[in-house]
Amino acid sequence: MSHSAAESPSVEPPSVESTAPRRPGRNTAQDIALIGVFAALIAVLAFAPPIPVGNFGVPITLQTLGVSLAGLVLGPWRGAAAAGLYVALGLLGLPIFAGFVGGFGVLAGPSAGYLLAFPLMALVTGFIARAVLRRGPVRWRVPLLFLAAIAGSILVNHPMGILGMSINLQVTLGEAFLFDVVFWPGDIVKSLVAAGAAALVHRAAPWILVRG
Amino acid sequence: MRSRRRPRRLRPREQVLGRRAPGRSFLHRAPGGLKVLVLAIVTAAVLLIREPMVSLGVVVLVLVTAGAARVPLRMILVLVRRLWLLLTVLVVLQLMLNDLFTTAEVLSRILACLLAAQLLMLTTEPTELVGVLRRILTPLRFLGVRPGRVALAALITLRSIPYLADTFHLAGQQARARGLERDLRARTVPLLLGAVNHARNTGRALNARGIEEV
Amino acid sequence: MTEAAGIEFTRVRVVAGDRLLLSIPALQLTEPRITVIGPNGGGKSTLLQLINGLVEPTEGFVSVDGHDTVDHGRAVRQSAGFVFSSPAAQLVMPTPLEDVELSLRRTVRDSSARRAAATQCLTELGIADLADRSSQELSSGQQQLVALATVLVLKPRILLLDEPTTLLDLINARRFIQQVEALGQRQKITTITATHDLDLAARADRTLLVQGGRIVADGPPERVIGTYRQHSTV
Repeated sequence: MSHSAAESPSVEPPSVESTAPRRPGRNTAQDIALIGVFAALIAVLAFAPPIPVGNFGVPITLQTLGVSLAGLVLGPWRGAAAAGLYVALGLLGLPIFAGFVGGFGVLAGPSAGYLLAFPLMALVTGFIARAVLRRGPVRWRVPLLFLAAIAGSILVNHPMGILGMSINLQVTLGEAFLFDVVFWPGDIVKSLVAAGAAALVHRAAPWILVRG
Repeated sequence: MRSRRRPRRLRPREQVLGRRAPGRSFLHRAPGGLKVLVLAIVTAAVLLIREPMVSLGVVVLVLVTAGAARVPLRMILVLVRRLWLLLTVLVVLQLMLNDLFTTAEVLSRILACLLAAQLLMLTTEPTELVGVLRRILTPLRFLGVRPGRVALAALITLRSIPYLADTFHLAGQQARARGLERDLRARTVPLLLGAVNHARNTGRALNARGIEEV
Repeated sequence: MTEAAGIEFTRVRVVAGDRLLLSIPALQLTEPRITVIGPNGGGKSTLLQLINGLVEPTEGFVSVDGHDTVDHGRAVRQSAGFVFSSPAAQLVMPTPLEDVELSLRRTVRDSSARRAAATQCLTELGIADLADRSSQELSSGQQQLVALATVLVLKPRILLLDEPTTLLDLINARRFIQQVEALGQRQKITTITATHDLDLAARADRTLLVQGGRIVADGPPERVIGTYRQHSTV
């Protein structure tokens, strides 16, 4: 969106400053809107009752899908900001966590670790996704974005979730790990869907990732 | 007559963010910041002390406060009904892995914290919580945090939730109409594209008005 | 610097990637009521957004009352208000009154003066009774009137309306248009409206037909709308 007098030499520039080259500036308002709307997206997906998926109709919850999407679509910092805003509003008492729960009370429950991990999860997924979108070959986008989503899930969300369950449910880490395994197949499905959808968005709306 | 599944209930739009208890009691009128602070202290106490008697005490205290503020008990206990499955699984697991005392401790702790939070939710407007968030962040100014921008993003979140909930519902209906109700992609891609579009429109409107914070 | 009143396009080209969105060699807009018609994706929105600097020309210049939209974007946006088609995306504050006040935050420092100006603006639009309602609960027609108020409170000289009635029902659409026309006359505001509603498009001094990134026809509404109908016969 930059233009300079040099590109249109025959036109008399209307003012002196326009001879200086212009850079596309940071669009703060657009970033704020994206962060606010994606925090809402995480909430809406968290509200959804478990959805039966595939031929066997295994129900999976969509809680973490929104967080993966925030990282994949917005990149690390804005993605983490969206996830952080969601967690902050929920902890302050807005009923936006799964099951329409909210408030500091969730810190006592089994999902505390998973929830607190959301901003970091979006950050990790976002860093990998940004690198993939900037440098990765277009053909490999979807599989690489899948890896970005699954990395945020396995490296951040599940370890912190297991830790939280172990503390809040008074069980050993090994036992908590066994509860956690139940979520893995669903996570793979969700990461696949998130990668496909994010690739679609980056193709349809390339303006989102002007900067990460 | 053939028995069939109960038809799906429609959820009114304005109830997406939960209903507030009617009335203007002392609890409704108390400043949001104070309520959040008290909730934080109570939650921290319950989490740190971890005694079933203390947690049960908090449960009773919450119910008594609710009664004094004329908040219908039904609106508080609806939480238990909504989470009964999770709570049952929790109790069964606890009884398998731990003793009765620990089970009671875990269950009472979770109930106490969630019920206290539910009482706050029922007596506080969502936008008031945005004000609280803003005040909490104000001391962090020196770190480069801009509370006005965070508050603007939070207000956009509040406005977007009903809009996106509609979009998601519609995507579900469209998927069902095409026989794709088990296809996660058919249900989520329209939501994501709708969210991106909504964010772009919102950003443009903010830019046109020259607004970057509230 | 030219002191020309009105809107001026000079050798404007807008390119996204390698796709030409809009090309306008020369255009001057001075009439009080202008409408823009044409198919979706033809460049109507881009044309409107060029005028208040939301879209910047890849090549060439757009100026409003002599101010270049790239160099003086903020000043241009002060004098050229924009109303979008989606009511849901334009309001951010809990109540209409607060939203209108928010528009003034930059220009009016005193909060009671802000409140007075916002209240007066809502009164002028006949929606003073909505001032303290929750924005969420308003109908889309009411929301669109509030969106108009958030823009009008800044006393713009130009009002850009991008399909403002597309998402409204007939009654609300008529009400909205009546308000805009009355205000345009009373406060001497130039209105530029992009629309698919040809009845609305006909209520103008000049109409532009934008198609395939170019101005295909330009002149009195009846003639331009006639051209559009001919182009669109299947």
